[in-house]
Amino acid sequence: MKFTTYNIIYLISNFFTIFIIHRFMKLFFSKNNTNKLAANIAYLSYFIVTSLAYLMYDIPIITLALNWAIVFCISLMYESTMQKRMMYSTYIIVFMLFPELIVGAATGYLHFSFFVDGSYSNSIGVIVSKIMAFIEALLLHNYKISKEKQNVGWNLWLSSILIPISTLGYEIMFVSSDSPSQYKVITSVIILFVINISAFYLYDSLSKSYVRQSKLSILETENTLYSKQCEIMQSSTEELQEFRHDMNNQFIALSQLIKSHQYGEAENQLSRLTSLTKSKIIYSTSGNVIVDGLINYKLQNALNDKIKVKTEIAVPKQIDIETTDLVAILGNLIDNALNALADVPEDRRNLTIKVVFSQGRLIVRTSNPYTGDVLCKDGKIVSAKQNSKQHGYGLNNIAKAVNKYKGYIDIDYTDNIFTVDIIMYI
Amino acid sequence: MLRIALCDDEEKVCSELETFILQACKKLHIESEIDIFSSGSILKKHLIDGSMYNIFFLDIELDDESGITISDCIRNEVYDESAQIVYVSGKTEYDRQLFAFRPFSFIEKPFDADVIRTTLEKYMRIYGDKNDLFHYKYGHDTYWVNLSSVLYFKSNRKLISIVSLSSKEEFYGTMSSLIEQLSTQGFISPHKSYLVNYRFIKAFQADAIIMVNGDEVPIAKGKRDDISKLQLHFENGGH
Repeated sequence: MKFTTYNIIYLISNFFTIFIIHRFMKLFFSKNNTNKLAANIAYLSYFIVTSLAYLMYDIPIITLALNWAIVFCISLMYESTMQKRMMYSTYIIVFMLFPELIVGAATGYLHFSFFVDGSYSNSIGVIVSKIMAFIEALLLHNYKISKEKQNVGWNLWLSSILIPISTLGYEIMFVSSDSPSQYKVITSVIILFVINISAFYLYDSLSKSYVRQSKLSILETENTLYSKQCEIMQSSTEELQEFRHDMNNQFIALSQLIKSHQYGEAENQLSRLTSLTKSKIIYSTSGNVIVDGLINYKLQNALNDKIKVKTEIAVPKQIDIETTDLVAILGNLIDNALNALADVPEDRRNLTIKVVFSQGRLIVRTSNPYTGDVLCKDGKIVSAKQNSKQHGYGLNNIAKAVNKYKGYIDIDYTDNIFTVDIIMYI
Repeated sequence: MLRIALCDDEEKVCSELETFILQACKKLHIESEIDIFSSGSILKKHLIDGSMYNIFFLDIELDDESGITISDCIRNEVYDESAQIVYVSGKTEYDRQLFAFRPFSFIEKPFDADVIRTTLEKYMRIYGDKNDLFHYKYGHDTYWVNLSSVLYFKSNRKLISIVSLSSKEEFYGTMSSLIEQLSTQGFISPHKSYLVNYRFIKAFQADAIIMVNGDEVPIAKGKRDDISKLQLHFENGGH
């Protein structure tokens, strides 16, 4: 067996195949069961066994069977059922075989037999078919993540095709230029594969760190809400002390009134006291930190702004909604309401907030009066104020979050009352 | 006639609540009968002896029993899935367990007359003035069934089955006339061959309704928004 340029390129591309298989495995199986070393050995054994088989026999049917067997062995490293492993191994082989057949046909290698020693020896053909299989794996992977509702940017789609194809084009140009040396050809092939591998593994690690970062920012939002909630509780304890002191004085006055038989005045005093106890500064005490924190934080100036708040909050401590979604929904709803109320005369500043969990649903309502016109565009509410676009943006974010839970939003703005009703299935 | 049970160990709270309920009933033209229990164990004994109520107003923190144990008795001992439970509490933090009993609503102490009125309003909005008996013909005979025991109606062409907690009856009729008759009595139609009693829904999902006996009723794709809208109307009122 001579190490011709073709043979060497075949071996290099065979090594590259490991990465193609690895990408396919990531596509079909989610969890790696064994340690990294075992997985690396399994992948490496693919390279060694198929390379040896090629060098010794090169009979297509044997290569094919071996390929399938080793891909199946590699799949044993992943968590799955036997049927799925067999099915996906077959898929992977078909996906890898398909470009080879096309390239073979395109380069005029039509009449081959599965059972006779293969005589195909077109270096470019081998490289092209591997790159095509790589593109397949990349595109399928993009398709998979886009189906899992994560946005795949157009630049990823484009680079999944452009990087492999442009490096391949460059390689073909290089090889077909005035016969470069064997050494140069082989180096360029290695570079071609290295660029392709590193570009997409770099992308993988970038997207992983992006996910980690967005998780961190969720944690940060939660932390801010927790600390706001603590601050509010702290200040309310202080206010409660003051209130108690105040009440004591009031009671002394009251008992004086009764002693001096001024019953009418005493009754008035009593009803004033009752209304005093009802004016609270903490609006949500459900025990659900996100709901409480958000509502109390957003409404901390409500009393100063002369807003009469009516709440109905009945939620368990834990609900199955992502914090960011809850923040997007409740935060935007309350912001919108407060914005609208700023323009309403003081005596009409009423705000109703309802957040109730019942029978697998979260039901939310905010309702407030508004002044001015509600602007509609294409059946969507754009703004309640002519000069502000924020209202509309907020509603968009709310709708996005609600749709995640296959929920429904109903908006009503008759009689100068703006009411948003939301239902979500959780 | 709306049968209401109040249970709170403080007599003053009970009488205040009763006054508010009576006021609200008068305003809403509801005929009601209120039984007051100052202890959880007495109420439990009555339930086990066979007393039935449409609405319970239960204090969550009772001396001898808790709202949870009484709710458990209502739902799991005497198997009353139709009664509506309103929790009354000085606290606003509610145990996860309470939500499993499908509470109708929560009322905070000290009472607000408006809140009690809206609670009863909601009850009337969903279940309406109940004409509790549903008459149907099978062959030449007329039968009747108590609507507050019917989980749902299911049609198979002209044959309609009445599924209730303990039995299953059948008669010939059309879904459309059934819907016309019962849509004001707390029945909703999530699918062209189902008419479901809102009282007996254990859980709502986007594409299905789970009944208290575990039966799953599909929500037709074209009806999802309508069903969500209807729930919002029932739960929140307005429009």
